[in-house]
Amino acid sequence: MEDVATLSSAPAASLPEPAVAAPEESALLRAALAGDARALDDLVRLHHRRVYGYLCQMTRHRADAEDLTQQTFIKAIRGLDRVDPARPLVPWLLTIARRTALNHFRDGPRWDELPFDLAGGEMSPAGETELRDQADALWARARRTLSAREFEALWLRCAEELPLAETASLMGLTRIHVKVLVHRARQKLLKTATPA
Amino acid sequence: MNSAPSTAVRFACRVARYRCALGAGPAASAHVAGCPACQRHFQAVAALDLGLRRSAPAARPAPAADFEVRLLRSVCAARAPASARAAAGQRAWLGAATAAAFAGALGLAVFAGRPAAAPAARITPAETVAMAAAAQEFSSRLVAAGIPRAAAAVTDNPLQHEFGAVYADLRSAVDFLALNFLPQSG
Ligand SMILES: [Zn+2]
Repeated sequence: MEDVATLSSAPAASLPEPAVAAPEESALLRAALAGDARALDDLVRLHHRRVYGYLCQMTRHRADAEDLTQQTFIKAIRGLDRVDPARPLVPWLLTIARRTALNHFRDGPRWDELPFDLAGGEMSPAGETELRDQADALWARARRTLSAREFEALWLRCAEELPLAETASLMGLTRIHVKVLVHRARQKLLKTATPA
Repeated sequence: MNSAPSTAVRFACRVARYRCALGAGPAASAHVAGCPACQRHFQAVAALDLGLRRSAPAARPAPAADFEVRLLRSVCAARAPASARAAAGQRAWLGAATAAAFAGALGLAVFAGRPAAAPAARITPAETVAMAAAAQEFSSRLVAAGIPRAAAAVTDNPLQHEFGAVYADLRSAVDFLALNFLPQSG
C-alpha cells in the first residue's frame, strides 16, 4: 500500500525543507564576517526585499515596514558574528524582523487588529491600482480569509519557503502548532476557492 | 435517512486529512490510499501550495525605488560606530597588556634591586637572564599576535597615534628590562 507521504499530492511532500545556505550567500557572509564592507552591502541588497516584504505583509504599513527593515538590518549587522555561515541567513533575519516589529507594536494595536488597506493615505495611487489588480489573487484572498497567525504561518512556509523548524522557532510555536495553522489555512482557502 | 453514513464518511475524511497534515499515521495513510475524495483533496492542496509559491513574488510588496539606497546608507552609518567600538576594544586590550608589562617590570626591578637580606632572596645572574628572556619573549608575542591585528583594525583611524604611543611604551618596558637585568657583555 502506498504511504501517504509518498503520494505526490500529500501535503507533507509539497512544502520545501531547505536548511543549507546557498554557496553565494555563504561566501558573502564569510567575507562580511572578515570585515569586507562590500560583501555586507551585497548581503543587504540580497535580502532586504524579503525582509521588507515580510514586514509589509505583517504590519500592513509601508512606512512602518521601511523603518523596521532598517532597524532589522542594523541589529543584524551588530550581531553578525553570532551567525553560522553554513546556514541560510533569511530565517535569522526574519526572526529579528519579527521581534523588532513586535516591540514596535507592543503598546499599539496587535498585528491582527491592523487594517488591511495598508493604512489610509499611505499608498500611492499606483499602489492602490496594484492592490485592486491583485484583489482576486491567491495571497490577497489569503489575507482576507485567514487569521493573522494562519496567514503568517502560510506566508513563512509557502512564500518565504522556510523549513518547518525555522517557522516554528520564528513564530515561537511548536512544529505541530505550525502544521495545524497551515492545515487550517489551506482548508479555508480551498473552501473559498471558486470551482473550476 | 441515508445522510448519516455520508456524514460519517466526511468525518473520517476530515480526521484523515488532519492527521496527514500533522504527519500521517498509518490509519490515515490507509484511508487516503483507498479514498478518491481524499486523493482529490490532496491534489487540490498540492495545487494550492504551488499557486501560493508561484504567486508569492508578485504578492510581496516592493519597497520604494530609493529605499535600497536609504537602507544601505543607514547600514553604513551603523557600521562605522561598530568598527570604532572594535578599535576601542583593541586599544583597551593593548593598554591592559602594557600595564601588565609595566607591573611585571616594576615587580622585577623592586625584587632584584632589593638589598640581599637573605641568601634565598638573592637572584643569580642566570635567573636574571632567564626572567629577562621570558619578559622579552612575552612582549615579542604581544607584538607578533596583538599588534598587527590591532594595527589592521585601526588603519585610517584617529586612534592610530595613540596606538603608536602604546607600542612605544611597550618597547620601552622591554628595553628597561633588558638594560637592568641582562648581564653586561664584556
Ligand atoms: Zn477520505
